[in-house]
Amino acid sequence: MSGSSIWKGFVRFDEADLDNGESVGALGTRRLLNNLQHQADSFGRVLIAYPPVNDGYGLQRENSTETDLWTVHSVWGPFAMSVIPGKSYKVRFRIYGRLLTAGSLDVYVRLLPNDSSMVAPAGEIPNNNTDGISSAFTVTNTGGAWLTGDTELQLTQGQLHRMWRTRSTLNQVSGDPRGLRSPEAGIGILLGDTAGKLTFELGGLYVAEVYGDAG
Amino acid sequence: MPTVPSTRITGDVQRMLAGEPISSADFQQQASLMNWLVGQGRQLVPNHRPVGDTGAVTLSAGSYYQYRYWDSPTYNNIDRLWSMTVQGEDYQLTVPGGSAVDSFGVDAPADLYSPSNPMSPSVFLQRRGSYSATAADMTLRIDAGNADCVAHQIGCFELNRSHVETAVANEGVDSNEFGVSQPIQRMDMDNLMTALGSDTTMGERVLLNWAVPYAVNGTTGTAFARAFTGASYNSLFKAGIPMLGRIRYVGDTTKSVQARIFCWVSGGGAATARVNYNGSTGTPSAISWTAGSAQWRTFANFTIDTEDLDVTDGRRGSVWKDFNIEIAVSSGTCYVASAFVAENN
Repeated sequence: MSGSSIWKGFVRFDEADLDNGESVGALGTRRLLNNLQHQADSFGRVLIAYPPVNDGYGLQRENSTETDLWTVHSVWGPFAMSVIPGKSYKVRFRIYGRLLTAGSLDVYVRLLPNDSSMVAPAGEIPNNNTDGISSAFTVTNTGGAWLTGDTELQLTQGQLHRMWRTRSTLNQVSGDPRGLRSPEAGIGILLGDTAGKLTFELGGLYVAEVYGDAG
Repeated sequence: MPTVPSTRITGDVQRMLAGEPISSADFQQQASLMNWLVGQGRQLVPNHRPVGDTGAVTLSAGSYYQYRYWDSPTYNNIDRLWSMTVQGEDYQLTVPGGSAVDSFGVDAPADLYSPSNPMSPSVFLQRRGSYSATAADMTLRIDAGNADCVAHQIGCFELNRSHVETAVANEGVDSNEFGVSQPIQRMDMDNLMTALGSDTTMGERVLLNWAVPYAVNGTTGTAFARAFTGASYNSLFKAGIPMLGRIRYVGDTTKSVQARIFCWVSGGGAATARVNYNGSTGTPSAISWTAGSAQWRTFANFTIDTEDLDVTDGRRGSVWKDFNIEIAVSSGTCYVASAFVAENN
C-alpha cells in the first residue's frame, strides 16, 4: 500500500551497510523507509481501559422520554489523535453495561471533537450522518456484560477538521512558548429515547486507536 | 530546531528502486517522519473510572485521596495533560511533582446528572523540567472540598512536541541535511539509524494503568482497594479488559509485555497473584508475597497477541483477547489498589 510499510514489519539490516565510505543505495534506503513506515503503521494508543466492575459500581444515568432526543450518558477524554492525511481516523472499542430494570434501550458510542468544553451534542438523533457514531447497541440485559455489536468507529477526513485545537507548550525543556496545533478527541456514550425512563449502567469501556494500513 | 509535523508523513517506499537515484525529497520525507515519530506523546494513563468492584466510591468532604500510577514516559515529553471528571462542588488536584490546582480554575461541572450541564472533563497540565524515559512510581492527589465528590474519570496523555532537538538522545533529524544537489553524508543518517535502534520504545503502548485510592489523608487504607480473601483465585476485575500489542518484526503474532500491581497483605498472611490472558493462566509463573507495606510487585514478562494490520479493527482472528489478574490468599486479606500493563520491547 502506498504510504505504508511494504513488508508490514520491521526488517533487520546491518548498520555497517551505511558506514562511512559506503554508498547509500536504493535497497538500504528502501529498508530504512519501510522500517520507519512500519513504526508509524503500528503506532496506536490505548485511549480508554476501564476494566469491568460489579453491577452497581458502574456509571449510571437515565435516558430521555422525549422522542428522538439523545441523552448524554458520559464523556471520556480528551486524548490525542494520530492522523494520517487522506485517511479516516479509526478506533477499536468495546462497551460493558446493563439496564437497572427490564426494558430495551439503544446505546451509542461516538467520537467527539474536543472543542469548547467538549460537552457532548444534544438534540435529535441524526438519521443521515453516522460517521463517528456506532450502530445502536440494543441493551436488554440487567446483568453486566460486554455488549455485542460494532467494534470500530471512524471519522472521515471531512469530519476531522473539528478535532483540531491549539494548546500552549514549550519548544524544548525550559524553552520558549509555542502554539501546538494537534487533533484531540473524546468518546461520548449516548442513550436513545424510550417511552418510559430506563437507567443504563456503564460498567466498562475499552477504546484503542487502530492506526495501521488496513485502509 | 526541526518542527514536528502535525500529521503523519507518508513516503512511498515503492519509488526506491535498485539502480535508480533517490531524490532529496525522499530523504526529507524520512526525516520528517522520524520527527513525527519521536514527537508523538504516549497515553500514559488510559482513561478509566477509578472505582473498584467493591468498596467505597465517594470521596468525603475535607479529606484527600492518593492514587498510585506507574509512569512510563517517552524521553522527549515536556507537557502532560491529566483529564479528570469529578462530580462535586469543588476539589483540588495535585499532579505528580506539582502544586495543587483548584477545580474552580478550570471548567468543573457541579452536577453530572443535570440535563443542562452534562459531564464535561477538566484538564490539568503537568510540565516536566528535564528529559527522561525512566519509568517510576507517581502519585496523584485529589482533595475533596466542601462537599463529597465522586471521581468518575482519570486519564493522562503526553502532549505531542512542537519541535524536537537533533541531539542523539532526542533523535530529531534536520531535513536541511538532505538538501537538493547536496551530498548526503553518513553522519546525516545518524539519527535515522538511531531511530531504528529505538524501535522498542517509539510507540510503546501503555495497555492498562488503573488505580483506586490507596491512601486517605496520607494513611494507607482499605476503604477503596479491592480486597481478597480465601485460597481460591479471584479476579481483580469483574471481566477481562481487551489487550493487544504492536507488531514489531514481520510475522510477529505475539508481543512481550510487563505487568505490576500495587498491593499489600494485612493480618499476617501471604498472597499469590497470577495473570490470565485469553483464559490462560500458566505463563508467567505466579508471584507470591507476605505481609508488608504497600508496594509495587512485578510479574515476569509474558506475551499477548499482536494486532493484525490486515483486519480493519485490528483484532487478530476477529475475536477479543482479554486480560485479568487473579489473586489467592493463604490467610489474612490482600488489597490491590493499582494495576499496570505495558509493552516492554
